[in-house]
Amino acid sequence: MARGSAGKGKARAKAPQRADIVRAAAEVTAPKKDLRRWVIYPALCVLFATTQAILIWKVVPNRLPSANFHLWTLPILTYIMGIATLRGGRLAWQIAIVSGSLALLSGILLIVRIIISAAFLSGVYGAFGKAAAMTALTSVALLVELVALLPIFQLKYLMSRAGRKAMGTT
Amino acid sequence: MTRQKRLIALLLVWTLPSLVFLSIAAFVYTTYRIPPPVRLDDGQRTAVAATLRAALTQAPDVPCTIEAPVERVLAATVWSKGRAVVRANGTGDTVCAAATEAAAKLRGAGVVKAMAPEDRELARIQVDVVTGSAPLGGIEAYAVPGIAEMLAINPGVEGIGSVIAGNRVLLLPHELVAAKVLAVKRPSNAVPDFAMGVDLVRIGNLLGARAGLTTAVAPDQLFRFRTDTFVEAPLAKRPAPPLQLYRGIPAPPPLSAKSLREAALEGGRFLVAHLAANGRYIYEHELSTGAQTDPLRSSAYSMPRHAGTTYFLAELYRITKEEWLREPIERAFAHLAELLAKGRCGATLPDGTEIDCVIDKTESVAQLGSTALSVVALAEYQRATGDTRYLPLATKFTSFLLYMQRPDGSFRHLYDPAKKQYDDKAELLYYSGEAALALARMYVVTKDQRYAEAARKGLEWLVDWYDFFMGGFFYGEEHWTCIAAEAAYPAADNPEYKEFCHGYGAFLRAQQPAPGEHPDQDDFVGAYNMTSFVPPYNTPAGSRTEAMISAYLLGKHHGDPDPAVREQIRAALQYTLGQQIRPETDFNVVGYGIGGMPGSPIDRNVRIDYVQHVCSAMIRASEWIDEP
Repeated sequence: MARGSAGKGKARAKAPQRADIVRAAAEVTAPKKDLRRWVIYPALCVLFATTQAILIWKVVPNRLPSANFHLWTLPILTYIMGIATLRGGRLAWQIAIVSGSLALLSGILLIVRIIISAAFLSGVYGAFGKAAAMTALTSVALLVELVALLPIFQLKYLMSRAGRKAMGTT
Repeated sequence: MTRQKRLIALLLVWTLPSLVFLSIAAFVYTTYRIPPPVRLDDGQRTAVAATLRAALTQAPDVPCTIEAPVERVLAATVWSKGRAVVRANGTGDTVCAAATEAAAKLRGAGVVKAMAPEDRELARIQVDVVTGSAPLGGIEAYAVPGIAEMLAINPGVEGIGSVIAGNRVLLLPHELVAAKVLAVKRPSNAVPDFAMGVDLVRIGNLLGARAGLTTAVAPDQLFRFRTDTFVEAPLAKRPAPPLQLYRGIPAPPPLSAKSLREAALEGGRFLVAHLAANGRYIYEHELSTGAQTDPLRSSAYSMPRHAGTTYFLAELYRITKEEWLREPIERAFAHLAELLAKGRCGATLPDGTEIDCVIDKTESVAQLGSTALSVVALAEYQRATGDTRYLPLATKFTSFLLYMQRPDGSFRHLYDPAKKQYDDKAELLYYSGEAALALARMYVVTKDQRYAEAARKGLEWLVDWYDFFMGGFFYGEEHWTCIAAEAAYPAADNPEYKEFCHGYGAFLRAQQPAPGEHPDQDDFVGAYNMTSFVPPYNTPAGSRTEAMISAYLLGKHHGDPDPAVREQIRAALQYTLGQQIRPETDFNVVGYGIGGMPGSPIDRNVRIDYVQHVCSAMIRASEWIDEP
């Protein structure tokens, strides 16, 4: 999926230049910092991770250790993804990719749990019902919005040429 | 990546997740689904019952010859005087093979031999034919936390069993209900009364004890099963075929003015039978054990419910004129008078008005609802009899209600008689609506305009409370408001009340399941329920129907009756007719239970207000339900 592959980049000429000319040229053509790496995605990660943590802590606390573990992976992985994006460098880029992928996977597993629960209840009670179906659909929609969208977009960015360049991996 | 590969990748991205999700859903569904039983017909049930009855009465064997499948086990339970005196399991490949084995066990049972012949005749045999089974739990780690634990079985429909030493040991659906193991977990601290979820530890203990083990059966050794259940008709109705049961209840009687009137009168008889000599009711009666609260000592007593129940009896008397109701009503009033004679609440206001309120001997603070419903009951008695002996008492009570009303029409709900001080902050459910109803009823019997004006102000406040943006989305418990609005007509003649109550009806209808909406739960049709996964409470089917009857009548008064409300009332009353204890369903009732209204399809406890609300709705609807 790495669309911005290294093979597409052109090799730059390495002609000897005087230092002052190089400095002056750099001052003229220096690219602006990529706001997505420095501000937008780290800020969104912190915002989403904090929101998720508050929701898990205050709104939907769970007494089962396994469920708690699953839920807490979401804010922690999102937070790690944000910090790694801000940190930059090859290792941080890899960490951001792995944590983002795991956050996405964790979100998908939550959706799978909802599907399993709906199928279980349909089996035991004969039908799931309109209200329960609406609740389940709303839950999935919220999950996509609160958990899945950010990793999807951020991973897409990190894997792109611009993202890798901004992270300092090229 | 080539164009073709891209296309394939795109297709996979769009279809593979759905296929995976669908496969998971199909696997889980088929693993946990137990198909509904193919039920035995009248002839088949009669044949099975005949074989078992011959064994019970020690008559010559009656061979069973029908061919019908069974999943190994058939259980025969003998009910005598409301208790399960013996249960015999039979095993086999067909219903008859299993029934024959169960009959042989019944014939040899010491308990059966010890029964008097007339008791054997009166006893009723219940048969549970196991028709399918499926795992119990095992999915907790993969489902949304709490779902599989809280909603592990369909309560009242499914039983739980285990295979111990090669034999199936079963706890039948009705046994789980009676053991009170179906709704024991409290998922929310905010709603402590709300309980759901089976107690697997206790179930393991019960199964272990039944199998003769000294240890409990582990939860992972349990399975669920469904049954085709039927019970013999009462002796007076035999040889009618045995009655098919679903969640322990046979088909309800058809809805009509006559059936509603009879059911309401049975409710009245139940309450009269549960009224002690001291004028206090036996507050609760657990039907499966016969345990009853002590009317002399029980501290768990509610004066608003005492007053409300007496109000229903007075209403029943007004409509039916059954003389056997009059003395018990007066006895219940005498108890109120006895409490008043202690003078704990009486006072004289600065303008010389005498006030009094109802306060129980165990209470230190008077609740507005106790006095309001007492006024309603006393006024209803006067409406029914024309007897004005309680009018001075009712007038003092009503003066108390006026004293507790604020200038904006709202009411204060608590009063400390020792300090002669009302609580201006406490807000409790129902009381404002009950007070408005009391004032409206007092206007009817006295024609005193002060009461009509106070009722109108109270209603305006209650209805206008919702006059903000979010208030358009919901309703609280407004059943007393609608009853009061109709009672106050035409003295308080505001069409907004009709709109409000019709809107309340529409809001409630969203909670009322329609036939076929939940195929396995069609016995809940007509009840009010937030989810089909939890059995509904029966009382709201009564109290909300009381309100809907008033809403419908209010519509009629304004020339705009709502046909949807009428159908809503019919559905709820049909549901309650099925839930009420009657001769067909009293086989598992210990003590006098006919006319009683259990808490829910899986709660066998009857409290006086359950009967009051449901039967009040029945008797009021009986006056017009047959009209086109």
